[in-house]
Amino acid sequence: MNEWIVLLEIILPAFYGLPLLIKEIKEKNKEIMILYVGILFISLAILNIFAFSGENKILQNDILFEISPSLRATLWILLIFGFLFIYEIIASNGSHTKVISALTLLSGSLMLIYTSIPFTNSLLIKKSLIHSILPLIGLETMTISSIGLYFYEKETSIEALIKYILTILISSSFIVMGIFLFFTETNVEYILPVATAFLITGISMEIGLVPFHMWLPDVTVGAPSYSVAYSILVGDTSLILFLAIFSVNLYKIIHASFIAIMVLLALFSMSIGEISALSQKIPRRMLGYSIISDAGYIIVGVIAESILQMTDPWMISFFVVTSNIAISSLYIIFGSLEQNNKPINSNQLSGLFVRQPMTAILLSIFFLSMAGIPPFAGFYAKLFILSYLMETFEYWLGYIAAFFFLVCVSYSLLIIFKVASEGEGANIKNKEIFLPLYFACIFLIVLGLWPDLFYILGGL
Amino acid sequence: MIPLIFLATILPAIVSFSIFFIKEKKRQTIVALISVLVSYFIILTLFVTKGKIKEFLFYYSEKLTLYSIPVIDYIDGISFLMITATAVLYIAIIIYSYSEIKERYISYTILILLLYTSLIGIFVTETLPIFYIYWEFMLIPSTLLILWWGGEKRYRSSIKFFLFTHASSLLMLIAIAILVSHGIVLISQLHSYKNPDILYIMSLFTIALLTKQGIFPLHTWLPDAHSEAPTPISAILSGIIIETGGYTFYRIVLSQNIPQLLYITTFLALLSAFYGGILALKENNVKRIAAYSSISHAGYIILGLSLGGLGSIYALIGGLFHLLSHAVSKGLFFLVSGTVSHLFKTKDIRKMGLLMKNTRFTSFFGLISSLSLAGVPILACFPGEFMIIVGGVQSKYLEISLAFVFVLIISAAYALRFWLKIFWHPTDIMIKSLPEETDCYRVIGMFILAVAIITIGILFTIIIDYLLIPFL
Repeated sequence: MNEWIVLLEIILPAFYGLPLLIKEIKEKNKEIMILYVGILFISLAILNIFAFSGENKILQNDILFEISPSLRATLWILLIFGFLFIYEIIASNGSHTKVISALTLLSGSLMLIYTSIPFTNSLLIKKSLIHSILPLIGLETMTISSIGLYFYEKETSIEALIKYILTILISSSFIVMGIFLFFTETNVEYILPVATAFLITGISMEIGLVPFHMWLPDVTVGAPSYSVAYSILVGDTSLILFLAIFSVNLYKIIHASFIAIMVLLALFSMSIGEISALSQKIPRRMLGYSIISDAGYIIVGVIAESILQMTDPWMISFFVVTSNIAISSLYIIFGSLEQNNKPINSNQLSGLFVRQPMTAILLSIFFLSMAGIPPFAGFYAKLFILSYLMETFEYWLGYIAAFFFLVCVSYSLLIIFKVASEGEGANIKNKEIFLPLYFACIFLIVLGLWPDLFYILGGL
Repeated sequence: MIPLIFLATILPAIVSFSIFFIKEKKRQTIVALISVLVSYFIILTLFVTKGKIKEFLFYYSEKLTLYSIPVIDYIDGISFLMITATAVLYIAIIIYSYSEIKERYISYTILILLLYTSLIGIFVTETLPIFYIYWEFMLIPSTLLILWWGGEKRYRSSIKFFLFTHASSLLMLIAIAILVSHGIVLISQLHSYKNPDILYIMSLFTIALLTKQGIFPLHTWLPDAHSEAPTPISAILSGIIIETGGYTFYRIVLSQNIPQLLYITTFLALLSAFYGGILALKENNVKRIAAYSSISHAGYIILGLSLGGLGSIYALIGGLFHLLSHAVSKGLFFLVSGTVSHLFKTKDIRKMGLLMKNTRFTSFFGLISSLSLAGVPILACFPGEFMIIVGGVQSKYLEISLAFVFVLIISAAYALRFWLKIFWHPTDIMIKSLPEETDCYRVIGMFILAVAIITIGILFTIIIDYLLIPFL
């Protein structure tokens, strides 16, 4: 890997957004803006190819950036869908600051993905400050850009944003504390579980695991839908992969306490997430809780991969990518159905199939994929989680997960039935938003019929 | 070489999307019919020319699934039997639907063709995860068909149908996940799995399959879904969809010798046969009579298969044969039920009667289906039922055979009550004017199934000798 090119790939999106602040570019029309962002993503794709095809070059004596095939597959999907969801921001009349924030978030996310493996190795093998600081920079970049993305001039949105900022500040302090504790030279056996607990708690706060989830449903309802969609796809995905990478490695040294923490987090997140989602009338809030429960399933997957010592998190990557694409697309649809910036409730979806059949079909496919119904990609994600769990003989956890899959199916079905029933409700007026949704839909169907595509992306 | 079985499976689904671009209803119907016929013709040609065949499609890499999973399709006599039943029933219901379905005909046709693909997929797939994909995908079109074209309680019925069958399918998913985690990815590999947890795995499969089959006490979704669905879909639900449970029971559960599980399924099957029969005898709603009859006949199938698993070859053949005969007989029974409720504008059997006077064709088809379900010789259901009784005696379970004979008497009672009340018997309430014969499309649909019932009833030895015995 050529680390110079990777470094350029990481920092390019953040700086590429800056010219958008110039008044002349700001006032240009949507097409110019999309073209401008499109050039960036093509450049990133080319850089990605060159970074891996040429000779190896490192920035320092130690490797700073490293990536496994599963992370590379995820990276490709983030680049493709990252562009498509920025297109959504532009098509939905999102301001230029939102686009800049989205590009900065991508930089932070790339930083996190590229540094997660060296970071984990540095904690366990060779303690290195630079390796510990780089993912922190990525995390903080993501936090700052998320604030830009979530900001919305609405009372509830600002309340939600304050909640988010407070949670993230605390989580950052936990992560920093965790990392510093790893540098302690004395009482290693005593300190390591505490350090791990700090790190896992910090990341759990960021991805919204129960009991650190309070901010998430509020933000997903309060912030603009396109921002939430983008943030889930790019930010959430990279954070979860970061958690998966270091969890699998940390399990080698502190498995007992690790499993206990992770199982509790998973159980609470699955149960509270799914049951709360079932009782929601506002679909956006429902999806917010669904994200929490998905995080719970991912932790179940992390447990399985940790026990099986699978250092390359294929299954987690597949799950998080398929789930987040479906959820992000749903946010776009629900956001586009809103009138006067008020979140729609499920009753307003009545009769959507008759009025806008294509929207209804897309919405149903995303929900079915999220619920893990074949032949959509979400099915394989759930099958992989269950089969990995069975491989570890953690059958009971498999049963609990399967039960909550059913709860997820129930509320997904309620929405689909509402869409299919008769009645008057909201319509999508802005047809421009459909293009990325068609891509997302085709991708979920193709991946559902041929999951090896994900594996092939990892080898590109 | 093009994978022909796979092509035959997905052809109706691919063709279904072209229906979007066809404007005339008649042409849409013809395209749907042709796609089903071509798909069946491909499978027929393959079976006639090659007999039992397997077709490898591709591998799933081991990176994601831990084991590399080959995707394989196959055809043998039993799967061919099921595909034939599906094709015959589909041809009948597509023609019948031309008159029956008035609204959103394009969506309806697309959904039934997608359903056809998923059904054929279940019968031809050897790979367990792919089998589950078809199994679960079947739920989407069938639920939507009930929801959009169903009766007054369609919302409740369709959600109940989906959740019940999906909940049970999740148990099957766990079982498949356990098998996949042990490297067992093909149905044909199941017999080589000798771990002690096989009873546990097969119990999970059995719960899922008995739920789909509508066996007591896992049947609660069935009466609502079958009675609320539009008539042609009721025929598919009862004729083929629930049969997938029996077919898979034979393929998966009977691949292992687990007598303790088969004792339970035998008991439940007999109980279900009784329960369904008694409720059908008491019921006054025409479609619910057919639905309860399905619960009863589902019991026959599982009884035959379970006795087969316990060592009786006759019962096994009887159970498998009844999959075919029940599909066509119950299909016709539902079409007749739907036709008479359409003619009388009510589903209440007490408000019907004397229909034979005006509707000679419908009454004849009603008689054929009722007599077939009653187990009258030279009609489709008789050979299967007879062989199950013989199978019970053969495997030294005489008491089961006796109980089954009693169930058959109940079955004859409700089937004849159905026919007499609607077509013959003067009603308690005077009918002001008798409806006229139904339209020709409905008659053709019913005629196809009536011919199939008589043909199967007469040529049963050929079916057993050429499609069942060589492939057991």
